[in-house]
Amino acid sequence: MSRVAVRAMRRADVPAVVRMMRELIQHIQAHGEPAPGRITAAKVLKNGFGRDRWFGVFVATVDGKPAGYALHHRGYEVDDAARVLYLSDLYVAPEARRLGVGRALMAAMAKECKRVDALEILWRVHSGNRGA
Amino acid sequence: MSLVVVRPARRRDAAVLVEMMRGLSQEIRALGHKVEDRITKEILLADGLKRDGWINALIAQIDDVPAGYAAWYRGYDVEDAVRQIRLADLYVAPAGRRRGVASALVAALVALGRELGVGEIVWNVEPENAPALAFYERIGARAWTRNRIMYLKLDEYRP
Repeated sequence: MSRVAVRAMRRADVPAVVRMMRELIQHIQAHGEPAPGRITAAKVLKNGFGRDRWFGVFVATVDGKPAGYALHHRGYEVDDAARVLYLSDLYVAPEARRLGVGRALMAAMAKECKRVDALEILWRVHSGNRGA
Repeated sequence: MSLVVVRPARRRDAAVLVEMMRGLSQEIRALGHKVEDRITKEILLADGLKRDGWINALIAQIDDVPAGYAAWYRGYDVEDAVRQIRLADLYVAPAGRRRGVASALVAALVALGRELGVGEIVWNVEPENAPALAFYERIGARAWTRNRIMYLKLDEYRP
């Protein structure tokens, strides 16, 4: 049986994460949204690690192999005085679908929400994506 | 003539910021929208106005009197591979209106964005707020009104 696990992105994960980011961008392009696809490993290394990072990534693996990712960043609702997490990308590699990868990534997001004392997770949905 | 001065908010600005944040909430409520009033000086200091905080602010002053603020946090767009300033609030206090405070706040956000290597500023709009939309379009921002999102590419900014 395949085992799904989720962890925070490590430097060694960056090539696999960039590959999946490009797959997601290609998928979005196929739905008619403009997506130049300029993401690179250097940009992920520069913006996705450290105390002053601009985003965080959870990597899902199936039997140790990268199978999906969730990209998130912090936000704040001033009137609610509430910390929030934005889920910018949620991606499951085609070969890993229907194994609970998306669910495991969302569970990691919910756990992160609790850890940082955030009120909620916010994200946007492409209206044509009925499966989501 | 009085000059509008914009600077990063410091921790000792928390009380003044919260007063303006509540002023903004009141005005949104007067338009018939549901809005909370939970922000306090203590919460703002716990969550923001510091390195690694969840919320940052620029404060505008005219003759040392608070005249408005912009509250923001960091974001990232993978498709465009750009850092973003997510604008949570842009507010001009009644005493500061029609004196260029909003323009000064946006100019300061653009300058800050350039300093931080940001590609765009992103915020939400009320599609029925025509004066705000006119102002945003005048400075070079584009509307993605389907999602009520407005974005200003820094290289399209018109001061």
